[in-house]
Amino acid sequence: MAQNQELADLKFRLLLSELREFKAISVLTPTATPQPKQRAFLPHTEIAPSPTALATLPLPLGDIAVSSHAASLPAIGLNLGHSPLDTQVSRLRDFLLEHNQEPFVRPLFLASNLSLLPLLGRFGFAFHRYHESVQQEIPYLAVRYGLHQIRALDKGMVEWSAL
Amino acid sequence: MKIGFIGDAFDPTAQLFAAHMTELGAEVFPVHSINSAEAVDRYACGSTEAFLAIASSLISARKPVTLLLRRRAASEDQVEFTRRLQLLAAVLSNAPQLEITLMALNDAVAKTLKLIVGRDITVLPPVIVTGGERQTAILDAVARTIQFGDDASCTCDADAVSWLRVSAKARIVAPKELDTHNADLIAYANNCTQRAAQSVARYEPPLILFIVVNGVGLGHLTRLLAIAEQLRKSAQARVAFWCYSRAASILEAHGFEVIQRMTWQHLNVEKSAWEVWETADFARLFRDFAPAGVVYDGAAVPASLTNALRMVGTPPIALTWLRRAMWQNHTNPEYLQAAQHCDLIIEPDDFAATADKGPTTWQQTSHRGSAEFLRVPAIGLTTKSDMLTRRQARRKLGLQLRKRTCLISLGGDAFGRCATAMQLIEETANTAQIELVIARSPLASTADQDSNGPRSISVFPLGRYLSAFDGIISAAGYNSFHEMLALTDVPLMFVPTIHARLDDQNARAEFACEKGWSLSLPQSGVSQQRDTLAKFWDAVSQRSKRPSPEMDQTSARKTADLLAERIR
Repeated sequence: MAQNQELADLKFRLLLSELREFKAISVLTPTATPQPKQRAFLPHTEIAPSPTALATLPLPLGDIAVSSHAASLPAIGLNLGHSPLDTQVSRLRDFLLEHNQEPFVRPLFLASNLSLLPLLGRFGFAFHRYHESVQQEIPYLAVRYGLHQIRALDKGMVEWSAL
Repeated sequence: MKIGFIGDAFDPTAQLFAAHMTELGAEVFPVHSINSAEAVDRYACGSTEAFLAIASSLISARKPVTLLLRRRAASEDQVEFTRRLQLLAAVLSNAPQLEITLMALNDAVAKTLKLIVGRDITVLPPVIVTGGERQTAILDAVARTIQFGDDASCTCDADAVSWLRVSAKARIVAPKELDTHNADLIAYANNCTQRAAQSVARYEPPLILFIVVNGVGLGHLTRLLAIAEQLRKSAQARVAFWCYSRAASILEAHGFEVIQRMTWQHLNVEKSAWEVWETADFARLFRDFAPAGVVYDGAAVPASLTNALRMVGTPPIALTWLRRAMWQNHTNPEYLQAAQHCDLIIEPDDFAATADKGPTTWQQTSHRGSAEFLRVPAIGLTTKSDMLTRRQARRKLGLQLRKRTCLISLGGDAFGRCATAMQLIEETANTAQIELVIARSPLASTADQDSNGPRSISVFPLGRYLSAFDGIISAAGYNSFHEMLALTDVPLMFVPTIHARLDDQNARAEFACEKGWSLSLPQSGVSQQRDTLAKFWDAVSQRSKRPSPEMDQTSARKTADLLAERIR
């Protein structure tokens, strides 16, 4: 356990150092003309019916934290919202610090863009990009990950609760 | 109208039965229990057994039911079969409140079974399929295979494919006598009504779903992006991506719709549980958006995809496998059997094709079904006309205009893997007074960056900046290999990446070396490595030019055209 915590701490320090230098992927598109906005796919507005029962997929704790009772920690969606990347990164840092020291949730990071996916994914976190609003996708996410709550990462405000 | 299907969701007869309902505008999807919470307007049962198994729940649900009655299959006992139908008749007479429609595949079945059930049975109208001229296919009902035409390798597992696609492509014959159930199935499938694909396209231009696997690098994503760009440019298709790669934002930055997905490894969950979700979600998307085609680029076509394509309620959707060659020799050749699920297999050419020793060159696929195989010229994302000039590229990257500069592009996790080689490269470059610029994969960690080490860049697509450099040291993945060779004429050295999940980079690097197109850094032996590097830096210092193989600059467009033509 102590060794696992040391490894998690090491990963945590790496994550912090990456966050300090974080930049979104720099993409040079071949044309300067903006692409027309197309209707977004929303395939998950309802629970997808299935020929076999859909089992909840347990959310990972992430590589930067260790808990002897990880499986019993609540699955919580943390909404990064639509704020600028710098703001998201700063809010994220606060949460990660707490998560490394005393994990109390199994987080699902929710965001309206994909910028933080490579970084959070590399450290073993689950990530879901929603389209217009996370509310539309709650029925799907709640069943898929057994979510208890969705909170806004900035103020901790409850945006949705299963209870 | 939403119809919950009860029964085997992959059964061929059920697929055709459900197609009849979707043709009438219903959404049909499998349900595994009668759940009052499920938003279902009516139920459809694929067999008498399926109905009887949950008859009491169905009766309590008070929703209309359609039941498909079938004749006996060879595996069923006649007495038992008759007894089941008698039980059905008894259940129905005891539940007058149940609104039920009994259906059968043809008139003979309807008449025969009416004698036992004692109720009128409606004949299912012919299924409507899209497609052109149909070939002949032979069903072996015992082995459960279908052979298209005379070629024994054009065989598929009869229970692994969509019968909507099969009946659109072929008239099925059976050389041996069939049991009544299979005879009825074939007769019904052969009696389908055909119409042109364009008449049912839900979108104009048609929608194509591209599936991006979670590769080690960005090869699959880049190749698909190259084709997607061309499909959009020519307005031949609207492309959306189902993306397992963490580099999904690259696709979005190019203006494409992206459905971001996580793999079971990403989530660290059981593969089987995750696959059930993937199948259900694919099927849901197929029902909702009815794409004209799906394009998959990767070695192992996922079962979640092929299962969703043959699930009841899924419309007929063409599957294209974009399958680059140069697999490592030890790659499991069984992956190639996935050809049976495909309508089209496209193999992009490789400059080093003659050095390919992988299974795609020697494995005779016993199951390739009705898939058409096409080889296209090597596909790259960047063409010469997309490239920035040397001055523009250096300015964008913040490089001095005059200094001799060499690009190092060794792939995503190169810096742990190639630490010794990198040390040697840095040391010898320093002696030769050549500045190094390290291209980092957009997916790679930035935590191990040495602030005193060479400058690093992380840009996409890298090909557009290649004019900035006087020399290039690169891994030999498909895109890097072709773009570095074809887009530049500066000295080039390959450092192949050896990875079980990657292509045979060693064979590519050796081939290019033999052709005189590049050098290849020896995998061991420091003195040989020093000699090779000395030769390379000398060429960079002198701004030597090397021969470049020609790459068809229109290959992505040609592939896009082929795809659009076949899918329409």
